[in-house]
Amino acid sequence: MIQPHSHTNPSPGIIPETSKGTTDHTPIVRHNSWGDDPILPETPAPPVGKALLFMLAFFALTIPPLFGDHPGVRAFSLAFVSIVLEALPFMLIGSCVGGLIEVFISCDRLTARLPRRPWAVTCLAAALGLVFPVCECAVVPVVRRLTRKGLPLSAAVAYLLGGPIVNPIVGASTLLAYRFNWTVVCIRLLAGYAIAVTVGLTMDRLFRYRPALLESGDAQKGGCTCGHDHDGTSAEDHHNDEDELHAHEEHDHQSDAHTCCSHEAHTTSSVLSGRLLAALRHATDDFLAVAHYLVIGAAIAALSQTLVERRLFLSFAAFPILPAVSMMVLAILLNLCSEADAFIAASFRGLLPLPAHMAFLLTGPMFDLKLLLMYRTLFTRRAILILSCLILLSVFAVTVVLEVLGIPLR
Amino acid sequence: MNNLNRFLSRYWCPFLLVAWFWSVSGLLVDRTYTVFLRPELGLLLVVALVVMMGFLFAEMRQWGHPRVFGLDGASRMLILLAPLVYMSVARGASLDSRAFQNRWTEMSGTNAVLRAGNEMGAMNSAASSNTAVEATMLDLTYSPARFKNQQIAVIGMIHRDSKIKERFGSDACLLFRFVVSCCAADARPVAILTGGDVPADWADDTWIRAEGRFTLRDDKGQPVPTLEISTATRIPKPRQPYLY
Repeated sequence: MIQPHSHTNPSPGIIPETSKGTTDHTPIVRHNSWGDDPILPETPAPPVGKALLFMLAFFALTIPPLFGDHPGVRAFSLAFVSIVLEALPFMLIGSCVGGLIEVFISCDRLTARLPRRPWAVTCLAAALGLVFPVCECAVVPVVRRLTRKGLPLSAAVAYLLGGPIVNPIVGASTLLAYRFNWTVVCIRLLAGYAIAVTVGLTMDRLFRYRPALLESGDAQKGGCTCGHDHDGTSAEDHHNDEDELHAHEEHDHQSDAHTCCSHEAHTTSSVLSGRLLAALRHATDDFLAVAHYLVIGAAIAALSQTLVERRLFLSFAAFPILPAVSMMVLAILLNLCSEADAFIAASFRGLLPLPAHMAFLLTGPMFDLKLLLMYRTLFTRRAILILSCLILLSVFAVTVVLEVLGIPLR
Repeated sequence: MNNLNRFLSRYWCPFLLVAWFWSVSGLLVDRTYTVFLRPELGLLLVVALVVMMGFLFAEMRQWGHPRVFGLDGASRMLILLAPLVYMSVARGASLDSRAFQNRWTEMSGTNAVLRAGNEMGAMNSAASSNTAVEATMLDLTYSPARFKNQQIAVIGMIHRDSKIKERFGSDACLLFRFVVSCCAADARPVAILTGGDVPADWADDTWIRAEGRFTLRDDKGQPVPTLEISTATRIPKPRQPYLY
């Protein structure tokens, strides 16, 4: 039986993200904290898939020079770049916060300050957006780092889902969009909170003995999770660089003592600027790891904005439940920021009932195309599938309850 | 090939950061970012630039340090360059009748707002006046009762729609603009119905300044904001094509 690595993250069910940077290609088999089911690393994307992605990306870059004058391409470009530019600052800030967490907060310190009971830490995490308001783009890099510091799965999911809804900025924008209709704001925030806690606890339950979170492959070989390539001559160059202030200088990458989780090496650096530099490097890596998913999601959203007519979604208005389902689909396709989506939902006022509005307002910040792709940097495929189902089912359940209660939308 | 891979593995990240930094600062310098975002969000782009400078600084301190590249890295680099390439196409553009058609949810969409507008503005309903009051499309759709029966002047783009003609008559067309909450992707159209003198050869998306009497036309019990145009003038695209 192969023993777990000494630096295993305390969170159960974490598996390596990829085997990038490893010199031998033997799959690393790890066991979960209970030592029963062996946890295998995610199989990397097949070469055909990689080649296809490369060709698609290349093809996408040839469209503007060739068909830039076409009105459809211009409309697509406008929506595409808008979504990316709107999300970019938040993602950069989120990456910086993630980098600072990595360098300045140790596993021990984090876990010591968290409540001991899982439900308590989950409830706390779901409401964290009230003091640390983030949108869905910024929350992913932050949660990536927090999970690697030992934040339990339930709390990670609760913050991931609750943060972009249960926050004062979203509350204010919803209030403004719905012309000071406090009912809409209260239902949105409370239902968002309830869903975040419920899904968080359910995920924890379902993945108690199975891997749910990905871990950077570098951590597997005793390196840090920064994603730097530490092998080969180039790494030697890097580490022999005299001007190098990076705290990695002090690492012994062959040593078992290196624990990236607690970041001993980073914290031993007495120079604040060196630690800030290390934080920035981690932030850059986080940004590069997540940003391309944002771009792909934005492209798909822009395509749907260019091709799909919104009034199609009104054709279901006369039926029960269907408006809510159609608005969930619209939220997934549009990929709007949680701080602005209320204005779009409000434009359906008088046309669709309250449950449909809530379906849109709750689904978007928790689950849309770009988030679906960005979750790939955090969760295993199985976990993403189950998380998606749980989110959609929970939102649907809320809309059914609202339908039954028959609360009118003023 | 190995040399190229080695070179790219060392420099693709700084190259990408410089490209993004250059493009975003270009948007800020000539204020073309307002094509994509509302003006206040320029501040967020400044923050983004500062963070990118930090990233670049950190990269420069480990200049030439290799990252994993390969086919994965190449795809990632192309994907992250894509917004910059598409930015060049979208720079001079703004949302037009194509986007209007996709995002418009019928005149009744305005009616929902109208009801609230009527409640709030009913008391202020002014008597008709001969001097044209400058109003925005947002004023007319959010507080229509305030402008009822007044001579108003408004700026917008023309959109002709066969369904609108069927419903409101052959000379009916829509005057519309977009209201941006955060970015062009979440922009929602606001429109009023027009009747009267709009030359038939003025194509969709033509910017006009229209003057006329503002009324609330009855459509199956729903009030529809309508401008009976007396004079319409073609104007160039405004510096700020969107409303905020």
